Amino acid sequence: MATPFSIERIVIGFGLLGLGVLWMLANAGRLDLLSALRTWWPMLLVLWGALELAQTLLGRPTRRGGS
Amino acid sequence: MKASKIGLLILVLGFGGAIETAWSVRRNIGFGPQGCRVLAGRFYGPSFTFDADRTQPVPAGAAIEVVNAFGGVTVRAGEPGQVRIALRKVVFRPTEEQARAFADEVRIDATLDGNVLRVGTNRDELENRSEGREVGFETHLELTVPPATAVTVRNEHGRVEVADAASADVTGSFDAVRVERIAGAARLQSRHGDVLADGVGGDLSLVARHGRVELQDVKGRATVDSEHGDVSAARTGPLVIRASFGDVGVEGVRGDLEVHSQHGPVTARDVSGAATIEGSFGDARVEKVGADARVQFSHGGIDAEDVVGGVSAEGSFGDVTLARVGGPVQVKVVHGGVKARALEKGARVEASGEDVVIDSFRGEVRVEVERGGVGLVPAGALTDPVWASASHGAVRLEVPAGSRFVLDAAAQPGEVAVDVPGLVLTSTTAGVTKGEMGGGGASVHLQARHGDVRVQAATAATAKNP
Repeated sequence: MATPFSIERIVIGFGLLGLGVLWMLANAGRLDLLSALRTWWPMLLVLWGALELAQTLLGRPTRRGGS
Repeated sequence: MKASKIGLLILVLGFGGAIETAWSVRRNIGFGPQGCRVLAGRFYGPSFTFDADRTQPVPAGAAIEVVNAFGGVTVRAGEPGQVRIALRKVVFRPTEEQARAFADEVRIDATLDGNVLRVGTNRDELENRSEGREVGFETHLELTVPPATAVTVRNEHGRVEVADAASADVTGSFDAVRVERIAGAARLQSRHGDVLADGVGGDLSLVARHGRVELQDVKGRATVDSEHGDVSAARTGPLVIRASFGDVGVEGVRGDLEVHSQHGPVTARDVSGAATIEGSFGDARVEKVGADARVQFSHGGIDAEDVVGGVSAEGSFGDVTLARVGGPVQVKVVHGGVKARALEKGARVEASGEDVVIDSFRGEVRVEVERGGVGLVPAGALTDPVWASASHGAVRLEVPAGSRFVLDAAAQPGEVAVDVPGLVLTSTTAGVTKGEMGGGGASVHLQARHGDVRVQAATAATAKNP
């Protein structure tokens, strides 16, 4: 059975992907991880707020993964 | 809002808080030869020094006003007609290139406003920028000004030195302030730093918080207000010191001395005028005073020697010691005794807890002691009134030859012993003895409660106690 559409899963996926890439770049010496996290962590709040707005405007309840 | 969302929000905010904390801690922790330590502020790490200078022509009689922060200020006399300003910039950046780039923006500001040359840097402008707030930089100013220039300095977090000026008005903090050879008046204010004033031709006003104060060779009137620091003064004009926590030492005052101290000992020598000393929790000592000395000190001893005028001493929980006092003496001490010698114009003494011994006195003497004895030895023939009362202690009077007085001695309970050649007893009852010597004269009243009264010839006492 196909997995139902979930914006939250997409966001979490991209979030984990981004965090992993940042961590990898930091380990490679290409990035100051702490500095980057310190600058960009409020983006989590921004994304979350955007997600909530999108759900409201689309009028579709979020499907929780696995449920 | 669902509980899961609230939990997620707390998780996100906690994550952000952890990142911010880690960021802040990382900026303030350093690893080096001394191990790991927490570093605070902007002024650590590699630093680089750069110099700049400027010469500013000034009209004759121009005053100088210097405003600075995070760096020293030095003002000295130089050539007339111009002010030379040397700025040493110390910039804390990781590399010399970064430091130089920042230092290039730090400049000297010198503006002639009427007859006042205002000197400073563009620190405020730089610190108002976001980068400027992050960069630590020191600005050390060295000025060479025309001779006899009135100098005003306002500095924070840096040492201030002013020498050979017409007058000095200095406010400093978090480092030392030093003024030398000021022709006129000096006004100094300092917080968290030592203050030295050496050679002030006019009046001196000095306010210091948390630092040692030292002044010497002040020709005018000096006023010192100090908290949390020792104060020492030498060779000054009339001097007033208010000190809260610290030792006070004064030597050589031309005029009156006034010391109001708390929680610290006070020592004063060579005061040509009157000396007034108030304080607590320490000993007070005055020597060589040209007029009256008034000492009020609690929880400490009082010592006064070589006072031309009178002495008024009031103390507690400590002894009062007097020597060579030319004027009348008045002493009141609680929980302490009195030892005095060579009093020229008598004494009035109230004491408790310890003995009162006055050796070699002249003039009228009145002594009242609780829980202690009295010992009196006149300097010469006894012709002035003596009134002595002791409870729970003995009263002893030595009588020199040639004395003229009427004796009235009582000891209850106790006994009266009289052994003076030429002293005729007129009445002797249990515990009460009356008599007269040399045909009578001044009244000598001796009274002991729970103690004996002993009247003896001065020569006999000397023979017993060589």
